[in-house]
This record gives sequence, structure tokens and C-alpha cells, in this order.
Amino acid sequence: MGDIGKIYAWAFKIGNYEIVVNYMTIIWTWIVMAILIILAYLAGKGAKLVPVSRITLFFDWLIDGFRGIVFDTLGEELGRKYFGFIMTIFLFVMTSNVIGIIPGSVCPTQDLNTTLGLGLLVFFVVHGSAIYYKGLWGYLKSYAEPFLLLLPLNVVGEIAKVISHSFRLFGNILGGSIIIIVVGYLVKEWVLPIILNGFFGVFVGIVQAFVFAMLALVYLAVAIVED
Amino acid sequence: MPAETIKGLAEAIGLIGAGVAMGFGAIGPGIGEGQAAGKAVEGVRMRPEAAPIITRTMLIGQAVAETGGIFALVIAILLVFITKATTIPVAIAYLSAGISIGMGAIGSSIGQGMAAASACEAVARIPNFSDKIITFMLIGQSAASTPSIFALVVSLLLMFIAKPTTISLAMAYLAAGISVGMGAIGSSVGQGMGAAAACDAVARRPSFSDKVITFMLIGQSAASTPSIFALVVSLLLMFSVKDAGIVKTAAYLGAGISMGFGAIGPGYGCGFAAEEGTRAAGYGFSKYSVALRTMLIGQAVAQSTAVYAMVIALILIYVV
Repeated sequence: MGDIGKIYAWAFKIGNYEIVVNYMTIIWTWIVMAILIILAYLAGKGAKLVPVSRITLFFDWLIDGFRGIVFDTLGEELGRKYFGFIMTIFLFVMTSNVIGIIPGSVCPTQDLNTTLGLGLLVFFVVHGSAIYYKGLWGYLKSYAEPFLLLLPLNVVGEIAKVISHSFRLFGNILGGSIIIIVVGYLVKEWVLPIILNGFFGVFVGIVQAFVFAMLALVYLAVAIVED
Repeated sequence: MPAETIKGLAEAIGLIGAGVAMGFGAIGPGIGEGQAAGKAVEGVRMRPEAAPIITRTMLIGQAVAETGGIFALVIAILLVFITKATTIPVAIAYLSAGISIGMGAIGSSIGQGMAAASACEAVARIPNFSDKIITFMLIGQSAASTPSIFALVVSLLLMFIAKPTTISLAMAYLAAGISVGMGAIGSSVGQGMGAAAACDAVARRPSFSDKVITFMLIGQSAASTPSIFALVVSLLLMFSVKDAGIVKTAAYLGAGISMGFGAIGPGYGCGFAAEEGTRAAGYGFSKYSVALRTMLIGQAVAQSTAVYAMVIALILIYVV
């Protein structure tokens, strides 16, 4: 029961600054990256005209489905530009969530630093793209739409988006892991945690990764698509 | 007061927490599951030959809608048998755990019940698509359970991590429970409305199911935003406050009430937008991005009061 909400941190000092490293988060982020790189290599190796390996077929199916959604939302030209970004976010977040089913693991996404980092990444990409495509003046003017009085509301709304975007993922994944720990303790790790791992680790993990990537896509679409 | 009396009083307050958890926690499942049962009966009346599949849909949906009630039951049992408060501040934290999950379970079960009711209706209309409808119902319901999971997590933290030593800290923990518990009500009902619309829409035009699920999840995630603000405020109230005087203690309590009650309306209101947005996607509305944009802007405006509530809560915690 002692590990509820435990953060594995390692602190040291450089001059007057204390630097804290959440080492478990970093190690498991590296593991997630390694898994993704290996899978990408394996999937790429089988990418022939007639795909032979199952892993290639699986990624074909996944990427095709996602490309449809991205192209529908952003249009052909912009969609091609941003598809890699959205897909990468989805694959990274999904793997980070699902990796929690390995005993002893720590999901990178149950650390607020990871989710807030991803949220800020999306924030800067969205706003940077908006300035790039609309120009600085057009970007600033979009805050005064539909009329000037809504200016403070729009500004606060943009900040609230980052908070809700990152805390949604963080709360769901951390919540699932805490529930698994507590229930596991109560039933002496007997059968029930497996079912809960299936629900919170795999099902909720995939749904939340999809939601995270879709919200990034929609924020992007609202910021840059003109119609 | 003699030590014996304090001990007894502390235990008593903890037990009240158990009662609050299960008492309030029983409201939602009853309403939600009843709705599903009603629609299932209606479906069987219209299409008696599909009775087995309608009943199956109803039972699956009701089982999921019961989750909130089961969370409340688990917390109540833990409060009765496992934990035992010996000091008044710890007892208040236990009471707060009960309030958190009791209130938090109301909305999610009602919302999930709405989705189950809509799924029963849809299955009665097109029994052949029952697999797809049930899948949509389960995805929508699991998204609608997010706020109650937040409430459960805060309850568990309050029971096992938070060990307040003073009344001032205990009041901050009480505020944390109120914030996340009340904040969960509106959001989960709103998310349930989105899920219900998705079940209805997929039974009309199954070929648009990709768009329906995207709209549903985006609308639902906007509807869940107020409950996320409530979670943020309650985590801040649990982990970043210090022992303080009576004025600051009252401010902590005010922060929890502000955020908790302030989140009810926006969450529920965003549900209407999510519902209509999902329906638009399901009916094959071709101006996809226009509908999406209108939905998001409307939800952003509907959420503004939740943002105000959060700003006031943060001011009450840190500035006053």
C-alpha cells in the first residue's frame, strides 16, 4: 500500500539549484521509445508491395485508419504535413499507457511531467502553426472573435485547454494504477488485478491515447484550417 | 474533552463517512439502471423477437452503470472495517473520502445509464448491429466513468495517504473531497449524453461510425474538463496547503465549494453540445469541420464559468 502515488525521484544540487530527476519515468520512457523503434524497424522491413509479416499488416491498418481521420479533418495538404506529428503522439501515448500492465513498471504518463510536457508541446505546435499560417496579426485577431468582448475568455480558454488536455491523461492513468494497487492489496493480488489491468491498462489506455491525439488534431484544425 | 470521548467521536465521524459514501452513491446507479430497464422494456414491446439480445444489451449496460455504486460500496466497506480514526482531523479526512466517492458516483451512473438506455433502444430498432452498438456503448460509458474514477482516487488518497494533524489541514482535505465529488456530477451526466447520442447515431448510419466516435470522444472530453479542474483543485488542496489560521481555513473550504459546485453546470451544459455534435456526425452531416468548430466554441463558452470557479478557488487557496 506504501507505493500509492509514489514518485521515484533522485535529487542533487548544482550550485544553488536543486535538480530532481524522476528516474523511473525516464527509464520507462526510454523503454517505450526502444519498443517503438524496434517495432518501426520490424514493420518497415516487411513493407513490400504484398506485405508478408503480420506486424507490417497491423501497422498498415493502424496508420491507414489514422491517416483517414487526419486528412478528413485538416484536408489533404495540411494533413500530409501534420500526420506524422499526430500519429507519433498517439503511438507514444498508447505505448506509455499500455506498458503499465507489465508488473513493476511505471507508466511514463502517470507522471504529470510527461503529460504536461506533451500538452505544452501540442500547445506550442498549435500556436506556432497558427502564427505561421495566419500571420501574426491574423493570429492575434482570432482572439477577438466572434467579437472583442470575448478576448479575456479566449485567452483563459487557451490556457485552460492545456490544463485539461494534460490532466485528463494524467488523472486517468494515475487513477487506474492507484485503483489496481489498492484492489490488489485488498484481494491479496488474487485474479481481480488481472481484469483491472485489462480494463485500465489496455482499454482505458488506448481510449485515452486516442482522445489525446484527437484533441491535439482538433486544436490544430481549429487554429489553422480556414473555411 | 477526555481522550476516550475524542477517540469515540473520531470513530463516529469516520462511520458517518461510510454512510455518506453508500447513501449518496446509491442514487445514481438506481436512476441510471432504471432508465436502461425502461427503454429495454419498451424495446421488447416493439420487437418481441429480439428480446434476448435487448436483454443482453440491458444487462451489460447496467453492469457498467453499476461501477459507481460498487466504488462507493468498496469505500464504505473500507471505512467501516479497515480504517479506524483515532483523532478528529483524520476522521474528517475519512468523512471527506465518503463525500468524494458518494457524490462522485451519482453522475457517472446516471450518465452511463443514459448510454445504456439509448443502446437498448437502438438494438431494438436494428438487432443486427447489436455488436457495434454495444461496443460504442462501452467506449462511451468508459469515458463517462472518468469523473467517478477521479473521485475514487481522491477518496483513496484521503484514506491512505492524507494524515492531517490539525483541524485546518483537515478542512482543506474536506474541501478536496467536496471539490472532486460535486465536480464529478455534471461532467459525467454530460458525457453520458454524448455517449447516448453515439449509440443512437451508429444505429442509424453505421457507415459513419468513425466520425461518430471522433465526435463523441471530443465532445465528451470537453464535457469532462470541469471535473478535471475539480481534480486539479482538490490535488492542490491535498498536497500544497499549509497549516493556517481560521480565516485561511475558511478560504480552503470556500475553494472546494467554489470549484465543486461551479463544475456541475458547465459539465452538464457541455453535454448538450456533445449530444448534438455526435448526432450531426451520425446523420452524415457533410460540413464536418463547421459542426466541430461550432461545438467546440460553444463548449468553450459554456465552460467559462468553470474556469471562473477555478480562478476563484486558486485565489482562495493561495492569495487570500
